[in-house]
Amino acid sequence: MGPHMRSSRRSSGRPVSFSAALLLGGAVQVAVAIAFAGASESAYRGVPTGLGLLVSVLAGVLAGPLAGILVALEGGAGFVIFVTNGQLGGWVAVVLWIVAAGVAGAVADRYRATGHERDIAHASERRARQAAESESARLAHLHNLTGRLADAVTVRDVCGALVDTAIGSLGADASGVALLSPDGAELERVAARGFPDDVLAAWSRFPADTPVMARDVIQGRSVVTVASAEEALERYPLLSSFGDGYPMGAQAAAPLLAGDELLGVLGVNFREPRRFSLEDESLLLAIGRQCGQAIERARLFEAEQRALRRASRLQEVTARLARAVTTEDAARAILRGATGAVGADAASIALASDDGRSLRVSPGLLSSGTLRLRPPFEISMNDRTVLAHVYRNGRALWIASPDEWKSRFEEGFATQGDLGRCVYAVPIVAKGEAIGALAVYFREERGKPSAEEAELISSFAHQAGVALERARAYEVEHEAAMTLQRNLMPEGTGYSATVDVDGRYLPATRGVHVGGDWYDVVDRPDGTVAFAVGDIAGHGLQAAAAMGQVRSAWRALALSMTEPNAILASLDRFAGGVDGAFFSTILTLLLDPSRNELRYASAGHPPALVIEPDGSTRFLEGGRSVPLGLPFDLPRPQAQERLGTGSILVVYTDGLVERRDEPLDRGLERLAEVASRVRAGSLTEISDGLLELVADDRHDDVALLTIGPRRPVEVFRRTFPADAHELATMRADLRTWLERSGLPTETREDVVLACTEAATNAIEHAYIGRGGDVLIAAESEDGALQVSVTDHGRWRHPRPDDSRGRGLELVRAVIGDVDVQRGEGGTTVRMRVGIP
Amino acid sequence: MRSTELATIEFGQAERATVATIGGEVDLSNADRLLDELMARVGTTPWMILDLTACAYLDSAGLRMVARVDERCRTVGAGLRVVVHPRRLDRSRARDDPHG
Repeated sequence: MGPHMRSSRRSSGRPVSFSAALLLGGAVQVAVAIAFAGASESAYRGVPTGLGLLVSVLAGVLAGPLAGILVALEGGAGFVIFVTNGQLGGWVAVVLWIVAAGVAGAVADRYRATGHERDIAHASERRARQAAESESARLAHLHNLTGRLADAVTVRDVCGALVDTAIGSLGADASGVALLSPDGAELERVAARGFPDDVLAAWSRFPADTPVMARDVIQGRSVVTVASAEEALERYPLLSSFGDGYPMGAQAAAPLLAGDELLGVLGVNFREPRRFSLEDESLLLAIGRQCGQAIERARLFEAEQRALRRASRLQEVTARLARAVTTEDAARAILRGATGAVGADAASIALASDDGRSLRVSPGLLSSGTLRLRPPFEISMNDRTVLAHVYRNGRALWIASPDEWKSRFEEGFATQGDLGRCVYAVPIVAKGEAIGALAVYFREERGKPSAEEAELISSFAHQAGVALERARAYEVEHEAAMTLQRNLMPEGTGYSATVDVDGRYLPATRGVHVGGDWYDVVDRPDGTVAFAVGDIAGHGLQAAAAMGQVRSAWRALALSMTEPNAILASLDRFAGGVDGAFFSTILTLLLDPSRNELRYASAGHPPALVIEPDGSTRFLEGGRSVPLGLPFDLPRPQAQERLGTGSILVVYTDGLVERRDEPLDRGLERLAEVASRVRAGSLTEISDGLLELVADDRHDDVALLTIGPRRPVEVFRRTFPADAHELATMRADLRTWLERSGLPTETREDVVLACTEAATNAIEHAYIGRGGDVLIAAESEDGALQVSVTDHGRWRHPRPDDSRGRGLELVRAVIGDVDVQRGEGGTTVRMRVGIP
Repeated sequence: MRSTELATIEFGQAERATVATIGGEVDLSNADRLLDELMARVGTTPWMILDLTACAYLDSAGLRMVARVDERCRTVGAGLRVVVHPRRLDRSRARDDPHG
């Protein structure tokens, strides 16, 4: 300033005006200082000087430039300059100015001092209050958010709470949360409030590099703000495409962070312009961080839930597979699991034939929650089908549309195209080798299955591989064991010439059917009859084989030995050397019909039951010892009994009396009760009655032998598996038996036909997809032939259009007197033909 | 006795007719297999003659087989004649006769 002042000295020179200007300036300073004494510090600062300056400049214009400048200066500085100016004529003015300036300065200083203090006090108080208020509001919002987040289970819940908190804490008009996809390429809106529907619809998912605020947040990992619509549109021109409903005022976006990981972006919008304070920004960051962690937690929870669901689904399928004995059961379990797991509408499982050249395809469709299997069919491994392709290549395949399907796999599309519009197929691998393929079908077009879904289907396929291999092995073993058992077991009745015997064998209704129960009867040369019933521990092929060996050993011993305990002692030594015979039980008896004398010995077997002609019953509890094959030389006692004339003897295996949830005694009581109730009937009827005990539910197989005095009437009895291939043998046996019945040839053929028809019905309708036995019994009584065909399956009404239901009409047409009894336990067709 | 041995089927071919001769017994165990063989020939000639005179046993499964062949013949416009022993024919009629 110095050079200007010096250069302007020359033009100064009106002392009176100058003095007046000084006075005026001083006076204005004093007035202003007083007027603004109560104002805030910032308002006060500079105002007196400014006004003083203004007045002084005006005065200076009138009195000369130097005077103006001097007036503008305060205190000593002006005085010094004034003195150096050397103008003495204005001494009065100088004195006045000094006085005025002094007064002004004093007043101003005083007020300045008090105002400043008050100002500072006010300001800090206000700041403290504001800080406290906003802090408490922030805390309240954060507290509230924390509470909501604690309740939020899913990612969606968390984001909903976040949006509400953002709106509430800032007083925003709208807020939204978008989360980054796992690859970071996309943002997906998870929660939003206050935005118009069309914007929401258009912005549910968008690339992360779209030039909007979110992009800058992702790049900078910090809060981004715009204060007004103008700024927003300038920085993000894309926003201009948003309609009127969009809150286009101030906007802010903050990152959602979990540790260092950026999960997504939180945005808030206002309709009006607004500046965001540092506190606003830190609030946004704070809730963003809090929610980031909550989202992370919710994601973990969701993943855990998915894993749990998946595990339980797998477990469910595993459990079902464990029960699945046949390949069909296994296929059903897999198809149900696979469709349920990924929300598919249908699934197909294809299994390679033994030579690997063809595939057997079983499709299943979900319809209102239940899985319907379609009939299986065969395809060649070289066919143009999805399943054959996946089987050949050993890799998963996704077909996204019918067009793609049709163009790539025309044959497959023709046969399976109605199952859905998209297909996902994986190979089924067992022991490192592809043994088939599993496909799921979706009726609606959809995206490729996620990695998680793909993995789930693959685990089903893996499970399928293991289970199907096992089921196949089961089936092979089961068939072999059934055949063996059938060959080993004596058939029906009529193999004792001395007494009447009714022998039955029922497989278990659960699991593999073959057990080790057996019975046998031997007519001895001396007129006595030896019979036995036994139970080999264990199931399956080995048990059946062991049973065969023990039984033939018993037969040989029973022919040569008369004492039951001696037979047991020999069997003991024998059982030690037979795999699977260890700990098997046996009850062996010798009956002398001429004297009604019975000798018996039991190796750990349930006691025989005697039904006296008067209906009383008793168990033969004597002659008991341990099961066979134990390495101790324990005594083998035997017992003797005299039976009343007409007594009936019942021997059986534990499957008939044992139930898991009750003591054996209760089962024995029940057996005795039933026995005394059914005693009046024929042996067949007694056996039927006793087997009612276990008609529906057998954990174990059952062997039952009922022995009674010889009755004059000869009966025919055949029990055979419900299998069409058994029919011819049954017919041959029945024809042979009928030859002695006294019926004319044509009537005999009618009986054969009627029995075959009834048995065919049982095979086709009663035992659909399950095994079971058909029993045919015929006997002549009172000049008539009584024939009955019994199954233990479930009766199904034939559909009206089903020609398969005609068998029974045929039976009625050829046999006049037909009675059909259907019950829960099965169906019995009784026919009566008069003997001329 | 397996189904394969239970019944025999032989085909003779003339210019206008295929003659199928079935012997043995026809029941549930083999009717479908026989039906497959018959169906394969239906329509190859204007007429199909089904000779059942050598058939010792034929029940509803067999009748169903005949009915299916008849149905297919009608569909493709071929004629079907079934030859049976006169006495057995009576029995069959008495039993069931799906297509006259």
